[in-house]
Amino acid sequence: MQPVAVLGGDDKLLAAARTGDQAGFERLIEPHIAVGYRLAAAMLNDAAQAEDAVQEATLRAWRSIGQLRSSAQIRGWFLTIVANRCRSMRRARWWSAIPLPEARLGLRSPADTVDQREDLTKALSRLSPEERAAVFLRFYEDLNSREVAEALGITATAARTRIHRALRRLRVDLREEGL
Amino acid sequence: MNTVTDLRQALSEEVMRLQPPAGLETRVLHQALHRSAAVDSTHIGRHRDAVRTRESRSSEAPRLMVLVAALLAIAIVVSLVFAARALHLVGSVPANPGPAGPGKLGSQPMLGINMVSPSIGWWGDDDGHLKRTTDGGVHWSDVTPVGPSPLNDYYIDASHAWVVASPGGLAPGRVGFFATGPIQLVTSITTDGGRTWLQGAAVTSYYNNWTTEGKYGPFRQISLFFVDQSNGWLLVPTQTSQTLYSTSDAGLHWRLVTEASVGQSARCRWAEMTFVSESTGWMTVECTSASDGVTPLLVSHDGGVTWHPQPLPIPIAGIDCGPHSRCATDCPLTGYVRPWSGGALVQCFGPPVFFDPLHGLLPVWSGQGAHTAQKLLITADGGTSWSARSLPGQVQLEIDFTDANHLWTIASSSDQLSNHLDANGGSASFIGPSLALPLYRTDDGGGNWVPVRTGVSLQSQQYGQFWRVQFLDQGNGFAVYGGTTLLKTTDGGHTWSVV
Repeated sequence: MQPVAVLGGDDKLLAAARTGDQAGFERLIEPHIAVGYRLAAAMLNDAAQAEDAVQEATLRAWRSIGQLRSSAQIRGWFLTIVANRCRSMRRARWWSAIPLPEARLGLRSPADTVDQREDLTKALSRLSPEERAAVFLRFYEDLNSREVAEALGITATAARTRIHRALRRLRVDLREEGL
Repeated sequence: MNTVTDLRQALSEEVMRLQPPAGLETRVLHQALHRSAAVDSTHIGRHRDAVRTRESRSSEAPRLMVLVAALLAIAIVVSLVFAARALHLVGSVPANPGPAGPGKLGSQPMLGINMVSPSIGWWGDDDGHLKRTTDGGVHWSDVTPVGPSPLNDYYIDASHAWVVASPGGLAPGRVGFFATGPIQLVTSITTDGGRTWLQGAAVTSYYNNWTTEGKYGPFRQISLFFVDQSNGWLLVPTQTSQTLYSTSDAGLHWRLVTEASVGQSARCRWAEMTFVSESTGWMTVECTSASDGVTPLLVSHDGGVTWHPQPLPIPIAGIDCGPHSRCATDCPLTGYVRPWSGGALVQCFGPPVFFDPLHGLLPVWSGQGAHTAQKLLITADGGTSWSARSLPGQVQLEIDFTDANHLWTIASSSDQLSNHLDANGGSASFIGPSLALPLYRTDDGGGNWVPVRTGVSLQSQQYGQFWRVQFLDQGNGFAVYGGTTLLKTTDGGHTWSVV
C-alpha cells in the first residue's frame, strides 16, 4: 500500500491547482502577486511594465503549476518566474522606452530634499536591474541570501556577492550587515 | 556613508513610488487566467496529463479527422523510416499531425517571428512551439516535431528548417530549473515546411544552472546556423567552454570542429555566428565581466576550425564593461548594448549579415555615458575590408535591410527621440509631440537616406514599440508592435495595418 501524505492547506490548494482548479491556483498565488509586482518594479523601474511582467508571470505560473513540488516553495518559485519575465522584457530591446525624468519629478518625496537620502536614491536608481532586485529582495522583502539566490536564479554565493557589491556602490556601511 | 536603515528607508520610498495599483491582484489574476483560457485552452490539460503529442493550439478537429491524420502520420513515419534506412539516417519523426487552424496567438510574444516571404513565415515561440504561416501571419500552424520541445531553431527558406531539442526533457517554459549536468542534444530537420521531420545524430552538451524560460532566454547558448540546405554549424556549451560542430548532411551527422577558447577568466563566450560559405564565418564574443584584450568579433576562413580577430575600421573598445558587468550579457539578444558604462565606451557587435558571398553589413552599437552612436559597416569583398556608412538622425531604434543597397531605419533627432540615459541604468526617454513614425530608407547602401512618409501617428515614446521591423523587398514588410501585434506594410512602409 502506498503511504498517503497528509497535506496542509496550501498543499491541498496546490494539489487542486495541479488538477486544473483555477480557484485553488488563485488562492495560492494571490498573496505573492504584490511582492512579485514590487520585484518587477525594482527591476524594470516602470509601473506599467511591472504589471505586465507580473501578469505574464502569473500566466506562466498557471501553465507550469504542475512543476511546483511543494506549496512551501511557491514564493521563490513565483519570484523566479517574475524575474525571468523582467529579464525577457529588458532583453526585448537594447533600450526601453521609459519616460523617466518626467514621471519621477512629480513623485518625489519630501525626503528627497535631504542630500544624503537623495544621493542614496540616485545611487539606487543607478544600480543594475539585477543588483536592484537583489537589494530589494534582501532589504525590503527581508529574504535571506538563499531565497534571493533562488528568486534570481543564481547561487547563494553569487547572491551574497551581488548584494555586497551593490551595498558598496550605495556606500552603505557594510559593517552593519556584518558583510 | 549610509546605514542599512537609510537603505531600508530609501527602498520603502521607492516602493511607495511604485506602489502596486489598486486592484492589482484581481486584475492580474483575471487577465492572466482569461488569457490562458482564451489563448491556450488545452495547455493545462496537456501538462496535467503529460500528453506528449502536440496540437495546433486552436484547432478543434473532429476525432475522425485526428484519426485520419494519425494514420497519415503513421504512413509518413513508415515511409520516412524506409527512406532513412536507405540513406543510413539516424532516425525519423513525424511532424505534428494537427491540421492548420485559425491560430493568431495575439498575446504570445512574437519576437521570434521570421517571415521568409509575404505569405510564409516561421515563429519559434517562447513555449517551445514552432509555428508556420502560409497566409502572411493571419493563421499559424503548429509544426513542432513530436518529441521534446525545441530549444532553438533556424530557417533558411519556406521549406527548410531545423530545431534542436534535448530528449532528456530540458525544455523552454520550465522555469526555475536549476541544475547542472550533461545532456544530449538532437537536431531535427524538415525540408517540406514542417510537414515531416528527420532526426539527426545526438551531440553531448552540458547545462549549468540555466533558467529554462523562453526561447529568448539562456537557450541562445545553443545556436544553429546553416549556410545552405546541407552545410551548417551547431554551437553548444560544454562544462568548461563551448563546442562547435559542423555538418554537411543537413544535420543528420555532426563532427567536432573546435572548442571555444576565449577569455574564460573574464567569463567570455562565443555568442552568435554567421557563415557566408562553407569556409568563412564570423563569431561575436560576449563577456559578463570586464575583459580588456578580448576581441568582440572573430573571423574564420577554415570552416570554424581556427578563429582570428576581425580587423575593423573603427576603434575597438574591447569588451570592457567598466565597473558594471551587465553590458555584454545583454548584447546578443538583439545585438545591441545599453550604454550604461558609467563613462566607459562599450560596444556591441551584431553578427554580420550577408546577402551574397561578397556583400554584407555589420551593425555596431556603441555607447558612452549618455551618448549612443550606431554605426553600420559594409563590405563588398566578402568581409575582407569594411567601411562605415552613415545613418540618419542621431538615435536609431531599428535597422533592417533587404540587400546591400536597400535599408530602413526608425530614427530621429535627439530632440525628438531624446536618448535620455542615465550613466548606469540606461532608460530612454522619448519626448516631443505626436508625429508620424520617423522611418527612413536608402536605396544606395546608406549613401543617401530619405524619410518615408508614414501614416502612423504616435506619441514619440511609442516609436520604441516597433520591434523586429523586417522588410522582405522594397514593398512588403512586417513589424511587431508592442511585442504581440503583427503589423504589415505592402507599400514600403508608408502604411501599416494589423495582420
